[in-house]
Amino acid sequence: MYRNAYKLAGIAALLLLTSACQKVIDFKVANTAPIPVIEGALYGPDSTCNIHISMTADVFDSREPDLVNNALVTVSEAQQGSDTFMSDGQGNYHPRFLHAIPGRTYHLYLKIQGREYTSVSEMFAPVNLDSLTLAPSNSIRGGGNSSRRAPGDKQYQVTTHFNDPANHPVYYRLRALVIDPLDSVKPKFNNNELDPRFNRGKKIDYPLFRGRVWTRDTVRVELETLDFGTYEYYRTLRTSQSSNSISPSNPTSNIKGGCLGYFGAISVSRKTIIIN
Amino acid sequence: MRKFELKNEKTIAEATSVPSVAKMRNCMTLSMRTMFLFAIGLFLQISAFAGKYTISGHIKDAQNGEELLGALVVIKELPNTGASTNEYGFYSLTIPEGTYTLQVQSIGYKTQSQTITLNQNLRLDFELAESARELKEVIVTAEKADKNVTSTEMSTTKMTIQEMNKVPVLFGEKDIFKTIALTPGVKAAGDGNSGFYVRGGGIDQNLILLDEATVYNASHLLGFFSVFNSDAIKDVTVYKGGIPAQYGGRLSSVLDVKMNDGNSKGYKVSGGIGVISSRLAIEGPIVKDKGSFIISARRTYADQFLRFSSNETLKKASLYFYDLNLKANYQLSKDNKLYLSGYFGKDHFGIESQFGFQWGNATGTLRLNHIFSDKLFSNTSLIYSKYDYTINFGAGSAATNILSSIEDYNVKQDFQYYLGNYQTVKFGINAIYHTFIPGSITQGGTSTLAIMRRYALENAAYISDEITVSQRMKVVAGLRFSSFSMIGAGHFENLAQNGDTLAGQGFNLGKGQFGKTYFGPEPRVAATYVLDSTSSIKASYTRTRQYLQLLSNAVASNPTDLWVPASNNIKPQVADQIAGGYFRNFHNNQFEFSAEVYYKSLQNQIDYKDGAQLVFNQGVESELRYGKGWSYGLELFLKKRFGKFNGWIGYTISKTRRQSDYINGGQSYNARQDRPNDLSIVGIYEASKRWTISGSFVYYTGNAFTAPDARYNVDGQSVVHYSQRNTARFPDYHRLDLSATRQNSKHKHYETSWNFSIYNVYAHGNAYSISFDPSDQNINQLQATRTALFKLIPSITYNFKFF
Repeated sequence: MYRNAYKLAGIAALLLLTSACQKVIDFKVANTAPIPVIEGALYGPDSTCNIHISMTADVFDSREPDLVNNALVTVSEAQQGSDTFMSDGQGNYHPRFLHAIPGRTYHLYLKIQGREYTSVSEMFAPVNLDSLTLAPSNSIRGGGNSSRRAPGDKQYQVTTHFNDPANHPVYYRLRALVIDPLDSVKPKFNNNELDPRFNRGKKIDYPLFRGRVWTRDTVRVELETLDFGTYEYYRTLRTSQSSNSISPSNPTSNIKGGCLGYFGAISVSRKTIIIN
Repeated sequence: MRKFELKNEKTIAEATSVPSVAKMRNCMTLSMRTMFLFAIGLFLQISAFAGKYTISGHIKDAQNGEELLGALVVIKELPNTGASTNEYGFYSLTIPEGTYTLQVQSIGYKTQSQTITLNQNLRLDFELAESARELKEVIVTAEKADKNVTSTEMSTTKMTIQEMNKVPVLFGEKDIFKTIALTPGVKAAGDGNSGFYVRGGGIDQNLILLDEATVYNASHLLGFFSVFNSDAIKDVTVYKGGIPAQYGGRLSSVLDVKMNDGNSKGYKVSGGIGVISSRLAIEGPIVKDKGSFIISARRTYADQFLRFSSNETLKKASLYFYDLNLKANYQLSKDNKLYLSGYFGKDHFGIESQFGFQWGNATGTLRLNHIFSDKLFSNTSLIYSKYDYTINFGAGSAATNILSSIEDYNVKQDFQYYLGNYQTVKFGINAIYHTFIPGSITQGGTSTLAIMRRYALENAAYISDEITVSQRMKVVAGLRFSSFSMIGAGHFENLAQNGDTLAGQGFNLGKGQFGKTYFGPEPRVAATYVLDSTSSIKASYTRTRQYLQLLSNAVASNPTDLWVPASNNIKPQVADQIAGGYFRNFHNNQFEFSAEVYYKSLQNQIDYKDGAQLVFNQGVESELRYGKGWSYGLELFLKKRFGKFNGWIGYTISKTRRQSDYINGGQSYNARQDRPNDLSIVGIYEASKRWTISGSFVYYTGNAFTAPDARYNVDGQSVVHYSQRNTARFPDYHRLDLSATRQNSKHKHYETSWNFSIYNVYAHGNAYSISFDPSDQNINQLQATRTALFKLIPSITYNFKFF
């Protein structure tokens, strides 16, 4: 939230003076050769596994990026053995028998156009999302669609509550979604990566959507428990994409071999709250 | 997330009292004491000259009592003998017993002659009358005509406010930074950014001084204006190389801005009314010929235009700044003069009562000039300087306030010892106590979160001597010795070389307890060899050390940029620069030409790791990476100093690179400020007694930046892939500005003028930023969007003076 205040401070003032002078220009870029992009997620405990492979495209190429359907995709785990995933022809690869089970470690082996890529990810036991609580909040950022609101409707923030297990080096991502019954076309998303290293074994209360949820909204929150490699990918993906950053860069991949993307074994717990 | 980790951390640092002067002195390192004693010893050794006497005193403007800097006292009977006044208008000259004709000169003033019989030490003050108006108009500096060739100063640009007044500027608001950036070696950081780059150095490597006080954020209105109100300024000097030993603390340059003293002869009111700002200055004597004051104020009202906006939020917005300069001086006795100067400025941006953002500087300087003897001049200064910003939003129990600041208490003692003909020894000491508040947040009146405060002590001692080796050769040799100590209370982390936090290896310092101390010598040498009466060659070597750095979150300067001190993790930056130059004047000093080359090597340079997070980050040091840098270039400068048509052309060709083992895979890369070509042309034409027309043109290579080199999809969203660091460039920058000033008829007690100016005459869209975003029609189609700030801005200002 504080970072939002900073953004508002900087950007809004600039917008005052600059909005009139934006123009799409013809800018020559030096395109790099295509690189594989791997999105590999094994979700537990309900075991939803999908590995998606595509390629990078030229910066100004407007076509959908090319999908890779002829890769060799193998995931192995000590007790279940090695499973060669099957392609669905849409860039997705699904397991034949492998399950995503908390407490196990998964190894990825990929071969794309003769080049090999490997990764490893540990799936921790899901950290239970204990509760979601509501508190009134009147942040100015929440007022965006106030014209749709009925008289007497109030602004809130949602706080998530959970306990960090002291004995595992886990990291978190909170994925939250607000469904506004009056504006179902544009649900609000909010992803936050949390680094609990300084709060090991403690109770964690994390506020979301300050003032951006209203009476009658439904808020769905997923708490993903991640290992460091997956956490670092998500975190750097978010921070690296600001074109105003002083040092824009690419997200840190946990896959070896020179590609983009990640391989994560992730356990999830969920909670939903409807605001009356 | 950092913000939530911090919630459970207690702020160790509590408000600490300011250390007394005595405490600071106690803290001086042993080496500094040694240097000071050495300096005193030198002074005692060289204090006696048999059969010689000293003439000393002040030289002032007869009309307003302003001290004249760099005015000359020459002896008609002794060619090559003379002295020039220092920055307080004081001179001292020691010559053998005899009868002489003294000539006192300053360009733009009538020369005064006086015959003296010298058989004892003499105190002689002079007041010079301005020469005819026409001459004053065309000769723009108070310097000796061939100073460019004969002085040891190189890599130095001096400008008076009269000179700056003629150069066209944005919104008709005279701006020191923008004018200085029209000279070679100094490069404007770009539109909407009042910072500047000197010889490949970063914005934070420039020491900006206003009457000796450090100005930490010299920009107003998010960089569109500098904090210096031209009504309050007397003159400006930029040292790009060969930096004199009395200055330190920054690697690349010193911008020394001196405020007007105020008219000691009579009262005067002057001001200007412009499209977006107005200004007013009042000056006059406190006691005639004994003391004077000046108060000048400025206020912008750009936000009034927002009322016409169709955007509801903008209609409610306020955006303005004001600043106030004050200066007073009083002659306490023949040998003592006291000066008090201060600056206070604030920017304000707000949206009704929902959101407020204020930032600004405050500085204060109390100085005592004391003349110990005809040969020993002393200046003692107590200096305060602060920069802060606050952001507030929310109401009632949710009212949130963010505060960040840097604050300095500074004690400075300078001596100038006049050994004899043209030889001056300068020495002194300096101690600064810094307090850094990176960020603290209060909500509903209670402190909820704070990044730990930092405290530090920065000390320095210096000595320099200007020696005339022969009639042709002069050398200035100087040594500065500086130190920097971290001071508690606070908790400090130890980081691995790659920037990672080493868990469990942090340490605490108690209140007032010293942590890591850095120190080192900074030798400075400059020499001039005069080839003939119109040309010379010069060379200099300068080592500088810097203990503070500015972390900037965005490409342009921002009020929330953060100053951080050297620490157990951040090592002091060190630069070594060698420069050489050829200086030549033509046509009776009407034309000045110089060609300078430089090479600069930089150690412990800071850059940001990939995807660095600087805002509100307790562990901000872990976002930094260290490396080295180097810069080299050729600067050409041709200036026509007077005549109906005058002006200059400056051109720089240069290269600036950085290398860090932890950035760009260890390969060297262009620094952001790398700008191979930079051209500026300024022309001023005195069309008639009433009309002066001027124009300036700039062209430079676009800044280096990191651009995308591919795109891909993650989770169905389009994402860009970035190239290696700073391999792409903004389009080249170019711009033409024009200005015309009409001087109205003069009256006995007032005079007025109109200024018309056009900024960016041919409305070129210079890139402020380039972003790569999906188009509205197709999210798979990325497009490059250029944001340009100022296209063709006309302005009109009405200036007046009452006296």
